[in-house]
Amino acid sequence: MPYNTHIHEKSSLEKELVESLSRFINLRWIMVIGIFVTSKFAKFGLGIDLPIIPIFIVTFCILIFNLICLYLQKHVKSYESFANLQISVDWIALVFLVHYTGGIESPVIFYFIFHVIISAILLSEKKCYLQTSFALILIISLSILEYFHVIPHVHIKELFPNPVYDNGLYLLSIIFFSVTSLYISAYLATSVNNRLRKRENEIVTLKNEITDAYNKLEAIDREKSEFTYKVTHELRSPLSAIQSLLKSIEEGYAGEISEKARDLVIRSEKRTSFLITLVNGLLDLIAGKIGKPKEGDIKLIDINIAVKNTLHLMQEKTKAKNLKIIIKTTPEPSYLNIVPDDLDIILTNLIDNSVKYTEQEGTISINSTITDKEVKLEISDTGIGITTEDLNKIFNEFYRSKNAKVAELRGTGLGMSIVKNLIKQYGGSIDVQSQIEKGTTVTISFPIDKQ
Amino acid sequence: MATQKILIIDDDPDIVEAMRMPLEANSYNVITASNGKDGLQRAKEEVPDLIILDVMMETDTEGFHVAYELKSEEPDSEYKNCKKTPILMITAISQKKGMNFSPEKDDAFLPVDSFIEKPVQPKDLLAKVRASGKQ
Repeated sequence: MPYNTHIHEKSSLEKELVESLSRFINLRWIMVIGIFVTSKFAKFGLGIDLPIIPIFIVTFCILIFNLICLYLQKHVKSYESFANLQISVDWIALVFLVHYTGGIESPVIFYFIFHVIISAILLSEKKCYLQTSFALILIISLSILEYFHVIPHVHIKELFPNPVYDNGLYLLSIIFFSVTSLYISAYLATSVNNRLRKRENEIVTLKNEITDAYNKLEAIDREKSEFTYKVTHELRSPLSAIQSLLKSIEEGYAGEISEKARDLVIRSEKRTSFLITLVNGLLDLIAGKIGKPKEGDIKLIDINIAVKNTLHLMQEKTKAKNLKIIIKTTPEPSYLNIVPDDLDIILTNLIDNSVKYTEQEGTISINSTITDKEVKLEISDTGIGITTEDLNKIFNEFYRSKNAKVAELRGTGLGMSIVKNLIKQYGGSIDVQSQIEKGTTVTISFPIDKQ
Repeated sequence: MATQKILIIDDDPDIVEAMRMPLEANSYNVITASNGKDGLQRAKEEVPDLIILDVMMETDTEGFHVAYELKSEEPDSEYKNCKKTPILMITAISQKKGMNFSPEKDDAFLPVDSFIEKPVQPKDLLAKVRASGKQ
């Protein structure tokens, strides 16, 4: 709509008014055609002797007025005054039509009711009553002026062989019924319209309340996550101290201890160590979820070098299992914009899974590919695989598949959730394909920024 | 070779103890401080051969400030005697690794010679302490 630019910050009520106004301007075109056709038909079809020239002049005036409205519609400042103006002009035009079609005897008089309804829709309740009163003054003035012959009465003898406009009693009853019917119409139309507006307001209020409640819940959820983050963080220092102390005892720096005591210390140390892994995993997971500011900035990183570094750190484990590692990387560097620690967490988790769940002498292949849209990394192993049933659950927090538990007693079940959350933050994706006892292929891809 | 003197600056007495045990068992002379201010004071007085420094103490970065003070380039620095003393910095796992796969180098220069992660593994600690002695 062409007037959109003027109203973009206006309230929904005013927007509705603007839409109604343009609808009524369109209606007026139909009205112009209607008057033209009806009067022509009445005159030449039915042989009613209407003063066709004055009626056409009035119709022509309405047409000109509507053209002016069409122009004003785009430039007007107060839409309510604009609506008032249109309705008032319409009343006056209508009174002229009534006059030329038989004054108080004219059936056109019924059309006043339409405009009462229109003003109820467009205007406030008070203004609607004011407009209705204005219309009544026009009708009453016309009939009284005709009654006293101040203005000549147009007599349509085909309709009223015996004129009644000068019958005082008829005049009074017409005035009485006009007044009551127009006011009652105004009352009914405004009350329906008021009810609709009230509903609308209720819906808007409800919508706002729901949005508020949602925002509040979101804030609470965030606060909770932050609290969990802090609590978990607090667990780290004491756990570190415990583990460090146990390690010192285990290695005999606190003096000789019995074989049994040493065994118990080793067990305790292992459990503490697992607890630290769990705490760190939880911190990574919550940090990913609440979008904790990163320690470190986004950097341009070659994923190929990152893979090699991660494998280098794991060489002890891969050698112990005598795993064959096949790396097929792109000849050129595959650069990614990422926080180094995030990429490190992703690669460490994924490659570590492959190493953990692949048996002796197995193979791990890592392929990287690059297109102009994304960097893709595929990590395949010949490991124990994941059942179709488990495949849907591996991204659930704390979930560990049955065969994973058999292969490796302890695991936090957090790795894949952490990885998925992190990849999501960079707009990337992760896909896992697996066949039980054949192996698993994890494919991750990151979009490349165009800048 | 004379006994090497090592200053541990860490606010966690249990971590200090866990480090002290293996170090003393390997006949290092261990002195300690439980905050940055004391640490600087002791460093000035004792002029140790190595300083083991925790990053997070009263503030999350207190250790970094201590390191900057010790390695200050000011010619009349209070701690100029310690300027050549190597620093081994203790970090938590998340502050980590700093795997440099980035083609650019880190701009922020940290005057620290090597890092060790918490929880402290005695073998790792001893290896890093020995390495610093050789420099």
